[in-house]
Amino acid sequence: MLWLCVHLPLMGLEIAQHSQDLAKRKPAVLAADQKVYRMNEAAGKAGILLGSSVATATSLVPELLHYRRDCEAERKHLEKLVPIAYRCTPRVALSSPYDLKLEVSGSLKLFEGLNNIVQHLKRSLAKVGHTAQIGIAHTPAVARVFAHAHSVIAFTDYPDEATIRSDSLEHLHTLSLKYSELKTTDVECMFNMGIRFFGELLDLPRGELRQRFSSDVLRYLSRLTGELAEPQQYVAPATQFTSVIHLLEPLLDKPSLSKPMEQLVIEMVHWLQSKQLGVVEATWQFTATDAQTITISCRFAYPRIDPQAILEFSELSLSERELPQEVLSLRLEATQVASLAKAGALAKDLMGGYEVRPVLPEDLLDRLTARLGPDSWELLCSHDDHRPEFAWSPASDHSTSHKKSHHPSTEIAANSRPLWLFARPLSVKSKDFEILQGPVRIEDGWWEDRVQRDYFVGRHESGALCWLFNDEYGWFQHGYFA
Amino acid sequence: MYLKYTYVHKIRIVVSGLHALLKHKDIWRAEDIAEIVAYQQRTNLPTGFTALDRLLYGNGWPRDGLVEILTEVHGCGELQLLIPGLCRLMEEETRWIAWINPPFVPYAPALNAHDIDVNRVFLVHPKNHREALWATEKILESGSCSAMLVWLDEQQLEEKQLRRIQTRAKEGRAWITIFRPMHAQVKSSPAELRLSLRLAETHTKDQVNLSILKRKGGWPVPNLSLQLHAYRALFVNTRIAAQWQQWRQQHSLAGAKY
Repeated sequence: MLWLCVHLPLMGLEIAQHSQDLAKRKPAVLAADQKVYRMNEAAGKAGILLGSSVATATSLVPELLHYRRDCEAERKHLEKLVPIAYRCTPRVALSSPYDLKLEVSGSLKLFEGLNNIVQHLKRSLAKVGHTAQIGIAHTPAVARVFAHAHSVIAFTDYPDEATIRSDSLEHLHTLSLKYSELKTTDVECMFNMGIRFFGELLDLPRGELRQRFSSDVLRYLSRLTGELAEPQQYVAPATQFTSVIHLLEPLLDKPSLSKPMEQLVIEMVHWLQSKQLGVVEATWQFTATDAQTITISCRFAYPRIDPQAILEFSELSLSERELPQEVLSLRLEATQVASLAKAGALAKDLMGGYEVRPVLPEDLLDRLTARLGPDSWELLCSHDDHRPEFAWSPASDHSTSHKKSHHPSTEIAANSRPLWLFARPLSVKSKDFEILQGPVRIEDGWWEDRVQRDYFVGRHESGALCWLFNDEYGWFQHGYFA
Repeated sequence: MYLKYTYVHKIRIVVSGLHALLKHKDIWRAEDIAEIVAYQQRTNLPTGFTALDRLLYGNGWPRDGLVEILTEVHGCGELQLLIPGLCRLMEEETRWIAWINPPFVPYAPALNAHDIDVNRVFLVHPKNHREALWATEKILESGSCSAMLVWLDEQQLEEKQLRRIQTRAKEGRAWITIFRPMHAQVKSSPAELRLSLRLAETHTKDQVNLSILKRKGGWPVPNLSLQLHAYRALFVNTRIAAQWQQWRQQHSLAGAKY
């Protein structure tokens, strides 16, 4: 077993401060019950101590930013981070308030080594604005101690179990007991007895310890050494993706929206990656101060997973819309998703063989959809039908057009059909035309829309070569030989 | 220290600006000569008329750049001239062909009959001139189309817009043809090839008068008379019809025998 514990020491503060780059450099504290619960580096440098009252802290640093701790929001946010961890291993467990536990022994080969997993996790978490401390050990309890103490053992890329165990225990001996999960009163008691490090505690005979401390302490020690198994409740990413950002200060213009939008898109992409899905339709909602909500849907030609493209097309859709004066909250939902496997360059056709599709300008079509609307473009489809207006149809979905469209089995000689067709035949006077060729009888569709026409090639007075037909309603022009 | 830093910084901006300028497609540098020779040597896209091909720079339609076709009416063979070139592009490349704001429906079975793969054709229907220009530029920028056929609103079309399209077409390596009405011939244009198509006055069996108003590497050529393909092929069809009639007659006779 190889356990990773990801500790996010400043997560509470980081959620409170999201998308406020300026604020991050100023001293800031997270307060619970008017006591300093967590603080950033700047606050630490200013001399503020953990556990001191907010009043004391503010007297030390007058410009101090302080946020109230919101346990519910923290819990929800930790769940949002599950997809990131889930990319590394399916065995992910949450441990409140700020820890994620991952069992990664099965993923070493996939990621080509332990260090890659650690780097990947750190990078992904940094992208969503978190600094992570990662501890690696043979049991989750020890990994947690290492993560909290921010102490790292240099393991090789593919460590064996005996090495992990011996190295972790050896390293644990030198760490202070203040990083343990024991009750503060117990730890204080041990400190008074002169037991300061894990090593000192583990070396003591268990029988004597049992007499002085509760059974919790002994159970914890067994969990540390691995004598007592520590079953975890594994979690999986949510089945649907919805995420909201509530802005502390209302945003007044579109460009400043791009930062929180990017954050949401990255969050969605992590979820998509963990589920092996691509987004086909994403829905944005922008809520204003007066509770007015604007909904914008972005549709994509194929399941997408690249954050840049999703963001770009979302911003394009946004550029054409009026937004409320002050945006207070943003919400992103993946309203339609599809499996990525279907979006591959190879599409399996009916006979089980693979056909190679031409290079698709899908990015381009998505861009057109985003800016000009979904009906701004169409693809052409030809069908086997003798009636001219049924021998073609527009298609707005590439996959369907590709399936249907093929060279018709009834080959038409080049030039026997005009290149320009009128969407609706135009009523004309036959005396304006000089008939050059015809008639060709087209008679079909008795089951639905009966067509019984004699087609002619005629030259208009202006000299244009036209496709004409004559039926029971008179003479019509149906196209140009352009 | 601070002064020194800003000085270096400024020089860097100037140098990067110069690089950007030199990369501009409108600027021709003598060192690009190899590229130009290669351009001249490669085969261009055929028009379907050897006489016309010979008159054009690089023996045919350009593979990148802006072409203008001026017409009086629809149905004077304006698409016929492009078809052989489009076919060649379809064969050689996997890129698509875009039609921006076409006046009518490009008829898919006819395109198929001309060996144009309709799976790689798409139409854009912009709502106004601004959208049409935006779509044209984006498609050229994306480089996913090898050819474009564009119909723009003549009243709102300005020369600077055409100049932009020409530059983008060079960058996107796309052959873009803009169809304009005949009265646009008095306006100046950055297009590298401008043709006008007029139907012959006497209507002698689909003669079309083609004039080259502007071309690379040559003077304008007035009144080049071309025989339209369309009618010739139709003529072949009538012959097939006649043959079929004959065949049927023979068989009905044979049937009578038995």
